[in-house]
Amino acid sequence: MTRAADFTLVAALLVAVAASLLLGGPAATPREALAALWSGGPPEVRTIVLGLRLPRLALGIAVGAALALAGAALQALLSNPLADPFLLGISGGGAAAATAAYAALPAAALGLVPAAAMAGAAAATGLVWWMARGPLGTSSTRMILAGVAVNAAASAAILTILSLAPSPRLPGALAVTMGSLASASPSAVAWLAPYVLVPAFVLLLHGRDLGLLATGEESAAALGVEVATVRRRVFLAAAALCGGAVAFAGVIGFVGLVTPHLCRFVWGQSPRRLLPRAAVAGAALMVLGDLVARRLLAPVELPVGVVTALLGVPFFVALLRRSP
Amino acid sequence: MFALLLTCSCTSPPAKGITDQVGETVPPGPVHRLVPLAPDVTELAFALGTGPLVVAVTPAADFPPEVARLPRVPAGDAEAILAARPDLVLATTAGNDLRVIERLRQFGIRVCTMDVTSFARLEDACRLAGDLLGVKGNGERLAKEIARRCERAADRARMMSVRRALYVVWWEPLIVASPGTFHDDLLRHAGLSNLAPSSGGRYPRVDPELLLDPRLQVVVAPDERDLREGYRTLAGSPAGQRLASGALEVIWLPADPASRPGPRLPDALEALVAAREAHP
Amino acid sequence: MILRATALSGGYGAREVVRGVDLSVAEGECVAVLGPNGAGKSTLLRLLAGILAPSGGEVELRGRPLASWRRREVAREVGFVPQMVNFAFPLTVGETVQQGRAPHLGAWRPPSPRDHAAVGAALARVGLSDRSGASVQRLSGGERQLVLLARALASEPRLLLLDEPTAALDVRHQLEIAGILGELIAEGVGVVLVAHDWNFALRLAHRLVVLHGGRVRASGTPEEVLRPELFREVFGVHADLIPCEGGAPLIALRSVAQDPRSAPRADRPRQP
Repeated sequence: MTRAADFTLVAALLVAVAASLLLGGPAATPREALAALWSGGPPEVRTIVLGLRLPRLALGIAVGAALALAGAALQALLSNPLADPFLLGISGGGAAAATAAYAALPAAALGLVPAAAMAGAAAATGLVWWMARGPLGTSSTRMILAGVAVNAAASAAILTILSLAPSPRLPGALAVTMGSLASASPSAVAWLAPYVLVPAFVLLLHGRDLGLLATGEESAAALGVEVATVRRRVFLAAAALCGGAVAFAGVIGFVGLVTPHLCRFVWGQSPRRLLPRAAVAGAALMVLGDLVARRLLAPVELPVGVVTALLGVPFFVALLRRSP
Repeated sequence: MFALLLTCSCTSPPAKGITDQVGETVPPGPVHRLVPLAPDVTELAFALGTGPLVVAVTPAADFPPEVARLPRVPAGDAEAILAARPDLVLATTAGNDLRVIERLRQFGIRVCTMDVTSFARLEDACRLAGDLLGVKGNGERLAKEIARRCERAADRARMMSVRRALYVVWWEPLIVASPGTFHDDLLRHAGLSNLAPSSGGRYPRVDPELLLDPRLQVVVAPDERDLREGYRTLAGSPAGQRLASGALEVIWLPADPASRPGPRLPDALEALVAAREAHP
Repeated sequence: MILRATALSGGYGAREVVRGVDLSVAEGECVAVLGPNGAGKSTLLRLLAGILAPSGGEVELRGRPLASWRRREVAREVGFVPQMVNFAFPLTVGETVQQGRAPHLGAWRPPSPRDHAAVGAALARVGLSDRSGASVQRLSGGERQLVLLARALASEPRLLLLDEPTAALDVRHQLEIAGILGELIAEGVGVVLVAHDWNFALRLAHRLVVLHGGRVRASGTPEEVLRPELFREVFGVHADLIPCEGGAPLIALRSVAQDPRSAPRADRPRQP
């Protein structure tokens, strides 16, 4: 049964990949795009397909996988099915920094916005970790509370920045808060890749531990998990995934929350089985969402976060109605 | 029953006065203190010769040079505007918060809101402001002058072939002017056909692939430092390939006249047509 | 001797809950830890399991200090059954019990037939073999407790630590668990049992440790420890020790002590 499900998942991703490379504006029709991929066709079409669509696809895969992994890991770590990469305020910090950078930096320096976002995410991570420290070390409840506080502060900061931003910068600053893959480039993907691959490896390494942590920290400790170490590593991995995603794509909701649940419905609870599949599912969802965002009202672009919400919510509702 | 009808008609007196460009009625009356809430309507007030009536301007207003000595009121600060005790406030849909306008009206301030989406409406705005400010003759003269300059520029443009264009407000994310804006009218008068979509509002965010559309031949943008920088960055990336190779012609317009739907808009049109003539 | 604690102290943060406790448990021996609420019983159990770090004293597992063991190694020797677990996700019974094999598997190794056999044996022991596909969230309190016990047993430990295993159970499940523990003890597994129910504890315990205010108030065999004065002074109740043939006495609770209003009255229903 899971074999068939795995196959369907990979097929879905491949369909999404093909669609996002072949479908687009009138400058490159699907047939031309197909020819371009086989190194034929006019050079402008090759530029569009390989220079614009391919990096955007790669970014979508990386961001979707990152968000889904972060969501799955945090849900296990915090024993909370409603945990979301944004719960711990990491993306709030990244988004606030990115928005501020976009509004304030001179135009020549706007390439530094992702770096600012990473710095903001790192700062929020540190802040949440520091706030969550209690007499017994960090605890999940304190983490969630600290995350809520940091998120609230970040939201306030973002709204303030948006109200003070000079009007030419406003659309770009809003793009950060609404999410967009439009700024994809080969260098962006190259920068993001380590922030996805390394944490993904760390999470897979601790897959079993995460399954044990999902029933509580005492149980996990009793079954041999070095809870403090694992908690720190998983938290940092989730923070890196989240920070990377926000830095290059802005705030995109729902993917991190819904994808693990959809996958659990098919593949069960074990994080070891779940994590790789959640990554693939997240990638597919992200790529499809971006395709819809680009094409639905073409050439006007919708914020991709809106589309992922619209795609994710019906699934979620169906899921809730099915389970007891 | 009759009494009821009478009271009804008494509580809502018949509208008297001049209708502005957003459909609101501006009661007539003398104007001794004028506050324009944006650079474009500031320039309009001065072009009509009513500069001496202006008692305060917004921080962004910088033309004509006389505004330098005027006190500033932020366009969003209803209190500050009220404190300036204006007899008439000139507002514009190109940048003013309509809620602030509404608040001013509730306080009994006369507000005239301009909605300039084309040269024709610009001329109407000149006449409208002239009427309200008691300088009907100046208003008519200004409108005629604008019409004359536009017609002459359009004539020159007709000598050249029509090309497809976009008016770019921001490069990254790509934001363009859609049909129905004064930027669009600028393009049309210069013999350029706007490729931007009609959906998505006046200034929609669009897919960067649009810049690689082979139908697109000309891109028009205001010559501001941020936009020059953005252009430089974009030209170095795959999305800006046609810009770098020269397949796509970029025309830079004088920034303020091109961005403000006011009496200097014909300057932008003339510059646009001149640029086209220089590179046929 | 599997586990020995010497002058063990510990607590949460600055607060010391357990002070200077000595305790040891050998193979096939059951030690019951009893005491009033807040005496530190659960904390003591966590200190013994190594889940909580002590602030003073030492715990030795198989002659080596507990602190020198890696957690996975400890988990292979010692099984911990908590009082309650929040099952936030709908795991099945089988999946939950399988978690008990984690100490024997690394990060990557998939379960071998040996692991599956251990899980099966644990499920059989608690009588849940036919429920292995059921969702844990749908079980009753008693069945959940059995699942937690099976999970601890799946790692095939030589020492079991149980925190009030019968706290929310009906009498049938209480006796079931007593039976299972009795079998395990007979097979040589050491058991440290924190209990609030004296009669349950006395079914199984070879030795008792009574905690009061974090300190050991009394320690030894039931014969040595059980006195009416103990109940009065530590628990503040009047209790009768009713002898039972061939076993520990039955503890019959009468009334609250040291309170003139609650001296035994004829019209008050007597506790059986």
